[in-house]
Amino acid sequence: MMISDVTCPVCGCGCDDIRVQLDDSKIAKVYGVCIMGQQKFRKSQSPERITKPLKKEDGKFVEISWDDAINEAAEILSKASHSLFYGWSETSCEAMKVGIDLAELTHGFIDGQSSHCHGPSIIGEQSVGIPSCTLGMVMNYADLVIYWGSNPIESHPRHMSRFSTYPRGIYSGEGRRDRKIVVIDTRKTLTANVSNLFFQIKPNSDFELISALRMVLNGKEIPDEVAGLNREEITKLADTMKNCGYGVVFVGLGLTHSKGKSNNVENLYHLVRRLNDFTRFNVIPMRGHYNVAGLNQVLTWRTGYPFAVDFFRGYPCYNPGETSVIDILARGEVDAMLSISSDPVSHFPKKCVEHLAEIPIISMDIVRTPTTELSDLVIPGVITGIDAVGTYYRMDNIPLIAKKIIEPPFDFTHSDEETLKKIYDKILEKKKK
Amino acid sequence: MMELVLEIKKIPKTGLEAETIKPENFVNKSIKEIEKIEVCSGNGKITLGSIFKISGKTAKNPSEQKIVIVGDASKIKRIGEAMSGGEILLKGDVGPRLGEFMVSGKIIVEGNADNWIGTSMNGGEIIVKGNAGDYMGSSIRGTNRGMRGGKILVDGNAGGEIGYGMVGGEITINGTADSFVGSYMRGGKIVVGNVLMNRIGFSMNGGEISIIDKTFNVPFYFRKIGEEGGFMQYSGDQSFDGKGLLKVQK
Amino acid sequence: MSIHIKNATVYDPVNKIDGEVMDVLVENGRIVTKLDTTPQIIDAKGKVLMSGGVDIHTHIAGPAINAGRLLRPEDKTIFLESKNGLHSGSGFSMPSTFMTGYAYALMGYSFLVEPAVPPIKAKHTHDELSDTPLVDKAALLLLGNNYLVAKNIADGNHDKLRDYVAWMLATTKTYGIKLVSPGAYLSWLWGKNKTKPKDAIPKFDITPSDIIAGLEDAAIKLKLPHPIHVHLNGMGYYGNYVSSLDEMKLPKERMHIAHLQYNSYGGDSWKNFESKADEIIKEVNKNAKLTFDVGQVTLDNTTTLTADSPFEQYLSQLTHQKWSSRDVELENGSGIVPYPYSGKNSVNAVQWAIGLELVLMAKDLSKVCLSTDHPNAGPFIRYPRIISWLMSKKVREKFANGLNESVLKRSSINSINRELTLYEIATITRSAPARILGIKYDGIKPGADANIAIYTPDDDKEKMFSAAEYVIFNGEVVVKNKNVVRSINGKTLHASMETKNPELERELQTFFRRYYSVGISNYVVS
Repeated sequence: MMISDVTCPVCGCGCDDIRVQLDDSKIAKVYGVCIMGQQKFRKSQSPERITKPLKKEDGKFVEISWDDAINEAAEILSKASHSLFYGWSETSCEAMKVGIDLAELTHGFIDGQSSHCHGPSIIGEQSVGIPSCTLGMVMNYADLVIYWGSNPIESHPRHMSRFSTYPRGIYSGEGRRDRKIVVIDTRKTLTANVSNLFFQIKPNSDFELISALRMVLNGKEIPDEVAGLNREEITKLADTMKNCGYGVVFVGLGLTHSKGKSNNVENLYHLVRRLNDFTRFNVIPMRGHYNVAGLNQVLTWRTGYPFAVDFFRGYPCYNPGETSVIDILARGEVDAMLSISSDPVSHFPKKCVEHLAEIPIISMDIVRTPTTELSDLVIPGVITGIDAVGTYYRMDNIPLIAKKIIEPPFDFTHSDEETLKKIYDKILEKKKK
Repeated sequence: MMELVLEIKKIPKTGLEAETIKPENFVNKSIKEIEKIEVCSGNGKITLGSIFKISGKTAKNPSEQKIVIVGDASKIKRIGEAMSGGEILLKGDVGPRLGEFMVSGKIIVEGNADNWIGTSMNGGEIIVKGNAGDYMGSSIRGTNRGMRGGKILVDGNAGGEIGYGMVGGEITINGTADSFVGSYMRGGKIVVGNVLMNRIGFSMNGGEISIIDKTFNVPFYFRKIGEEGGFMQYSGDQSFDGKGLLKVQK
Repeated sequence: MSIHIKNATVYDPVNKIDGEVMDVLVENGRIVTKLDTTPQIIDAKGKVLMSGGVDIHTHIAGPAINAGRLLRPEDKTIFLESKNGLHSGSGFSMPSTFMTGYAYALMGYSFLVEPAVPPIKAKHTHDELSDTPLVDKAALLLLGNNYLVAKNIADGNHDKLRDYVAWMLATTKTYGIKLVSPGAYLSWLWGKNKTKPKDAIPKFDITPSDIIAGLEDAAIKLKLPHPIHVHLNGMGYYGNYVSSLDEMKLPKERMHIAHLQYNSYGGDSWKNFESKADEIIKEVNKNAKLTFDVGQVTLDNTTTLTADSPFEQYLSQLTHQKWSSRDVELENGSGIVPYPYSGKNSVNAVQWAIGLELVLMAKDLSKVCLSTDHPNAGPFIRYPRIISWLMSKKVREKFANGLNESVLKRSSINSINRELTLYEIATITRSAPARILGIKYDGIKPGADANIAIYTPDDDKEKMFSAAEYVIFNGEVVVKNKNVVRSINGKTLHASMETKNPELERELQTFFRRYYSVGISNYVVS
């Protein structure tokens, strides 16, 4: 049986045009999806899937019952004085809502991958504001597309073909020929190879390049060389941006994670704001996970803040650098963690991981990772978009419903939302006693 | 000055926020009453008496009250918030968010301070003998108008994002700052020994930054306008016609 | 649950009750004539009772307001602590969703209209509405700068336009049609920053007036309960009253004008900015086809957010405030710019006067709705303050005395003696918006939904209306002793549409495949 209009639960492209062939309720073939998507659909049915709750006893994992796992999770979180609910980027908005309820109930922290990913982009937005657009505007209007510190061919494989480079839109009927693709990066990436213009800049010099571009736009003289580019190249880039009909910059981690971080982004947003005096120009941060934007949306409408929220005073508080996951772990301010659809042990700085080793961890995931190995309790995750329905927000903040196409490989729960609700109810029960 | 001594006994592992620790909250109270004052920690409240051994005297007016904190206060946040009058002396290190929104009075740190000293300060004085962290004398998130008055002095080194959105007052760092000094500055004065990465005065449109180290490399978005009193003078941020003044010692 | 409210002084313009003392009985969610179970007694002697308030235009839920919340961490100057099973929240000009529901309920409101839904993000609006408790809701769909709307009007396909509008309302589960500066965003995309009613829109060769006419035609054919809801062109610019009057003369049958205060401006620069409320209200008073909501400026540090992208860009250039903008998928734009109104500012002081002038000079208050275009002209929590200005000349004079003298020189507010009565306040906050919306709203009458607010009278009207003593929503007590005591979810209304045009559906399938970045089956709100 062929199911069409399936959504892919991997990257910020949030592709919703996938076709899946099912044989006997199992995924036989997946069409139209990129290599990352192929791997995810394959992983959903692989023997690697965690199918039973596990509890660590004497340094080894033992299988326990579902009810015992829920009780154990509730026990850990009830005893903690400042727990952390972290992850969220690869689960549903419905699950996130319960996560926020859990953090509010236990007066804990809630944070997601955006905190250390496009957090700087959000901080930059809070300073300057961001002119932005949806991907459909890029398809139909953009005649200039800039990838800045972003390499979509490897990070978001279908981005160029679906949205930014090849589509023939209403005002871009010639497709590729109607667009100029520009890559600004520190190395010649695969994306640079298919661009019209490639500007190779010195590492950690994006800030200077942006200031130079702003100076050129304001008729000021710049030095012979800035950021590894000469004056002619910088002037050419500035002119290209100023003279386009509709320009879009896709911002990657090259900008948010190199020296300067949120200042790089702030400077870029000033530049784009200035470009809007001449033409239409927008920015879209290249969100990595397919629902990382979802946490920012849900958390903002429920609490007022997009990430790094601390409920310990009974109301939401936000201060990245103080309430964000990396900082609270490095300072040892957390005494229990629930990690969902994330692998902090693999990715976080050493000081954070050292602290994680000292506190009880509940991990909700689909396969074993370094984080599950360090956990005290492992709860099987349900894949939103494959074995459960759920809402997600694409990189341009368009909400979509991820489809369910197969059953999860267990029957004690049907979604991460359901699992978290059970934990929530159990904590309430314990509080009443 | 009447001196009240708070000796640290036990601080919860997850830290605490103690914005109630400032002279105006202690005047005219007995030590027993002060011991009962609650602060936020974890998901509940604990009393000052459970954290500190409290001794000494309380005054009638904040301007006559001195609080001395003995021990490692690096896990205590928000001390001296919106303080108006009196003195706080920290004998050791202190945690983040010290003297935010300060109106008047004096805070002295003999050890090291942390991030967010003197956010949106209006007046008063903060002196750090050791090192300080990031976001010193800066504005609150989402705004670019911050410190309006008062003085911050750091004897050692400081981190980055110093004086973000400064409108008035003075910041002096005898050692080094990391980067991004004086972003969005509109007034006031920052004097710093050196800035390790030469990204300063971003979006600056007023005020003055002085760098003592002669080897400091002036960023290209500052234009030379002259020299005076042993300092070269530059104007910027030229990305947008900013009229801030940068002085670098010759 | 049943409730017996005793001896309340009722103001209900729906049923022409003007200060009558009566008992009101509530059972199973309705107002009834007799009770079958033992009721909770509420002694309302000396207290004022009205049906639940209706806000016809308030930006409370959706991608734009959420982008605004995200933009302004510094807007969180008030917080709500979680307790008694209620959620926490934050925000002054843009409260978070739970806080919004509780705050409206506390003021006695029971029905809110989110006036600007971008179609492709309708799911987002509905998601936020479902997190806004203690009120019933409806949402209006942005169509005035929609590519397919403009194309169908340009091609003269009025039947197809009608069917497309029906399809869009059904697909997005929205209640009515919203136009925001029709054609202005479409023109701005091609470099045209200001658009007047008769200007040609680049690439389409139609004018904003054509769009208004086309969409009114569709609304009439579809028998929509609410007329086209229009944010007029030129909103916010000095001297715009002339083009406003042009557009106000356009409708064939009905037009509801959003935040009319913002389109009542004279002067040819900010320096000689002045009120033209008298000219504008003259047209409203003689034109039976027009209704409006005020958009009253409250002089707070608030946030502007509209789908009027070119105006928002202009405002950001004028004020140097931060600016967020969103171009949404062939459908509409939006812009967000914080704005700290100040009574000392010569323009803001006159803006404050204009909204009040429009209400006080209106002959027929059944055409008038109270609003602040929340949060644009001010946060909705200021409604009680506005009521105090409308009900007392002395109160508004005292307030005007603290403002820039331009308020006296460039408006006529101090020459107006009218003071609204409680019945008239109930009109502009209840019966008028309910009637204009076309929702089922029966006021205080047996059979009506039991949405009731009970206030303790006070000479200080701001205090009186800031917190109701009791509020009943869907027949349940949700506010008691001026505190929200429980949270229940209301329902979201949408226009029930039948779409039966197979040719259009086929065309849309193709159009989506070629030009939209989402699949048509994923576009639908289920």
